[in-house]
Amino acid sequence: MTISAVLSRPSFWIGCALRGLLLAAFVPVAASDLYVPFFEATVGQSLFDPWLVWANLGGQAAAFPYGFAMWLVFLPGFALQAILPIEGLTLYFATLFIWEFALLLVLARLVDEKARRVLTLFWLSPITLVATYVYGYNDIVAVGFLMAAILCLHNRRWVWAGLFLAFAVSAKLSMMVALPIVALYFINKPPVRKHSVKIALAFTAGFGALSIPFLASDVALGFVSGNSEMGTLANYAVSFGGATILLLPLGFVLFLYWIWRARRLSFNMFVSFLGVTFLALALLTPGSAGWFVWSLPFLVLYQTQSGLVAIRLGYLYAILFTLNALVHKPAVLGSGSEVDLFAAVNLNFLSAPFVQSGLVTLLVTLGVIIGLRMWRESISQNAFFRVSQRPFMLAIAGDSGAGKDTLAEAIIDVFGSHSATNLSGDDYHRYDRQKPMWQVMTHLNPAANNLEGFTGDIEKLRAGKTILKRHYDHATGKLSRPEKLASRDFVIASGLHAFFSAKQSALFDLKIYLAIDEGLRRGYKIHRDTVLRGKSLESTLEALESRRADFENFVAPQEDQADIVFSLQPEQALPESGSLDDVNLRLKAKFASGNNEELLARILTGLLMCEVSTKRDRANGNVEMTISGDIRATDIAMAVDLVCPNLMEFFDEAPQWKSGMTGVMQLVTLMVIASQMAARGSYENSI
Amino acid sequence: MKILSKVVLSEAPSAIFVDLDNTLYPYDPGHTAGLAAVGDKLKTDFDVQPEQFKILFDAARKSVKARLGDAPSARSRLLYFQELLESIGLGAAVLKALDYEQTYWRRFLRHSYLFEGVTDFFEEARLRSIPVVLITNLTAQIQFQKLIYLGIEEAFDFVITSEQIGAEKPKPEIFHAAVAKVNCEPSKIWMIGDDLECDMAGSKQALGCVSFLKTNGSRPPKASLANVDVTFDDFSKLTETLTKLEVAK
Repeated sequence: MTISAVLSRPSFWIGCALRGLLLAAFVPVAASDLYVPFFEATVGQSLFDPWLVWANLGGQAAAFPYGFAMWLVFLPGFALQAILPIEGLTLYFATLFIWEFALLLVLARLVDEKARRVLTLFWLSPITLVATYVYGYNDIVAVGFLMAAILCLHNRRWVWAGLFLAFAVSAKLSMMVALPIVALYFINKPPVRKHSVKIALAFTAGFGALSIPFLASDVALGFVSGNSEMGTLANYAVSFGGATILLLPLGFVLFLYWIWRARRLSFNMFVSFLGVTFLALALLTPGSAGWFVWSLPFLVLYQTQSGLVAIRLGYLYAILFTLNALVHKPAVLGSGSEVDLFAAVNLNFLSAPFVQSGLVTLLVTLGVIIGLRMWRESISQNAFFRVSQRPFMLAIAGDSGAGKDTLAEAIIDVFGSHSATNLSGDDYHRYDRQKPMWQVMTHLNPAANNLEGFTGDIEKLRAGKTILKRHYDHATGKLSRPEKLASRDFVIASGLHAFFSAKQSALFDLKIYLAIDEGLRRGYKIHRDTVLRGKSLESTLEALESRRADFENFVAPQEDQADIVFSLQPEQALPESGSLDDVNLRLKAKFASGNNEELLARILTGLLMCEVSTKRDRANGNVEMTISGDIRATDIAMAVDLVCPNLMEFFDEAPQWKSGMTGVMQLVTLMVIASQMAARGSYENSI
Repeated sequence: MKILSKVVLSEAPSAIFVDLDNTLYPYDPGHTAGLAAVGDKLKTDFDVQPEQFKILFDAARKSVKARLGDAPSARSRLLYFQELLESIGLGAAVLKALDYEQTYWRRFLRHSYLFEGVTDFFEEARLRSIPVVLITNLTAQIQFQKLIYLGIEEAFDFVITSEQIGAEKPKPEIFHAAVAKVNCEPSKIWMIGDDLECDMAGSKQALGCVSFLKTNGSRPPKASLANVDVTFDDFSKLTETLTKLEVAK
């Protein structure tokens, strides 16, 4: 949403008018008695130590319990007083208005297509209207910095995110509560982990620079320790053998531990965790309007993503907040008299203490319900969360030279090696190539492979454990010393016998069998073994012949167990010899119906301009799609966006999409993964 | 939503005609992203700077449009890029022109999304058995691709492109062709579009139908609204209006 689009909305101007009316009707005491006199007395006196100037004038600490960033925000406005005769209150609220407007734009960017809703949910929210314009609080400044940091995280502007965080914490020290959750986002999201250094350095540099004037001041620390939000930490405490245990920090640390244990954090979960944190803080201190302003942007984000119920609950919550705030801290009218809200509307009985308690109870109850809904909708029903419970297990079986490694690598290239790993069945060959045993059996014979070890290791990876395994070097034909392989969110087991036994079969969420055209397979295998693996042509041809029977007996039967069967076929006659690089390929993909195949066919035909024919097997409900066409890697990226949008959070920062039929295999595999994950958990609700 | 003319929305339309670009989805995000992607390629391939690219692209577009006038191919990005490549001294850079065109449209699509409320509006029309016809300038291939990308190709009873008719909006032929498809009373048709000339004036003159201008946040001056009956920006308001109206006999 652009600035001009915002300006064209009537709700924007209604919000502006409401702000004007509130300012005209009420005296925002915090601003007029504390903040504005502070700025008027200090701007122009000292650039780096306004706290000292104020203390020397005998001002109270409550006038500016903030850091240097907050000072910098108001400085330009109040500096205008030197040249223009503008009232301090006007400058103060003009600054806050600009800040609110900037926050509005940030929120609009974060919700993108639903930006229009932000106008009603944020710009017209009684929470910011009352806190800012009736009471004169400036919490919107620190919240603005925090949300700007979140937008930068979303847009992968790591340095800016670090700097904005530094400004947020410097503006209001209690913003520190956001820091551990930001840190956990980087710890629990492997694709972005490598950028944690950038954001940490930017934050440290920014916060360091902003702290110099603060630390250099003799009195600033005393100002900030008087901040009322910090004081709320001590509100909940139990006595324990003479000592006092503060429950809020204790609960927060347990919460952080729980997030860390969840192992995986998507961006939406991260934002929800921050939202739940600020909401909880607001509810535990219902008298302090500041925390409510802090929770507002998160409430708005939740409302835009969720349905009508969330929007209605949010409105009700904001109204209860307003009533409760006005009861606890009467607003002051322009005439100087305090508003007795209840007398004004002839509802005196409402000011009775038990009604007031009822109001707070209602507010807290509603807040807890909203918090629980936030939690449920974005956290516990999130596919990310489901995956963190156990890796997604994928098996790729097929004959030697069918392209198992190519497909496994293509899948790892999408998720990134930090999130996906491949256990190769070749590493479980019982003997080095030089051993005499190969004279009597081929690699395709299960007896030549340690399938029990293979299965055991798959089980361990499935349980999230790290295994020790040897690696079979195709160039030398030797097995290496044992090396470690850690489990990942996506574990691929590829090999001749990847799901040979029923026990193996039961370990996987998705089983793929590669049934390549025999002519192509021979061509590829001869090329691979002679050129890439350094074997002689004779030995390669001999191996091809000797393996035929074992293939039929031990490898081919896996096709019946597979969830997807991919079969690459040449579109024209194969050349007698030489490279097969110029051969046009088509792909046959067979899988169970109900995996979004109609959408896939529409996208392949309609957008990617492929030739697609679909056959349905009525006997077993399978679909067989034959796909050919000239496909670019960018096409696959676009198609994946449309076919499995909910899988995007799992992908590496820059997923490597393949062109041609390998790309189509990536697409079909991801489509089926998405649909299998949906079966594993209620996945649709992940936002 | 503002009703400007005396036309009373007393009964539901006999058919709904609707434009595509900037009416059902915002054109700018896709166009900007598409051009940026091509700009990046030109910078890598031929060291053409972004500002220079903008000037070259505008010049190429103007030159193609001047030459081809009303023909749908006057909007072909392929021709624009071919012209642009020629203008920087490359002759028959066929592969590059094709590559840039593909890059442009692919990036364009990835940044396109429906305006809020569009699918609900079509759903309401379907439930009331009101035929919906898409009338759009530009070539059929890319317009069809947009429909599929946006997932709305099934919302229409007919799709009419200028390429297929041989005339672009605002020419009456394209509107008459649409009426011939649905065979209904022209004055009771709703025409929804964003272009004052092509959609509003064109449909009004050809059919005398009820015209709805999608304003997209802009405020066109009153004098320019002679052919507009209703202005609106939010499809949900249109859906609300449609829900309240009696189905035409």
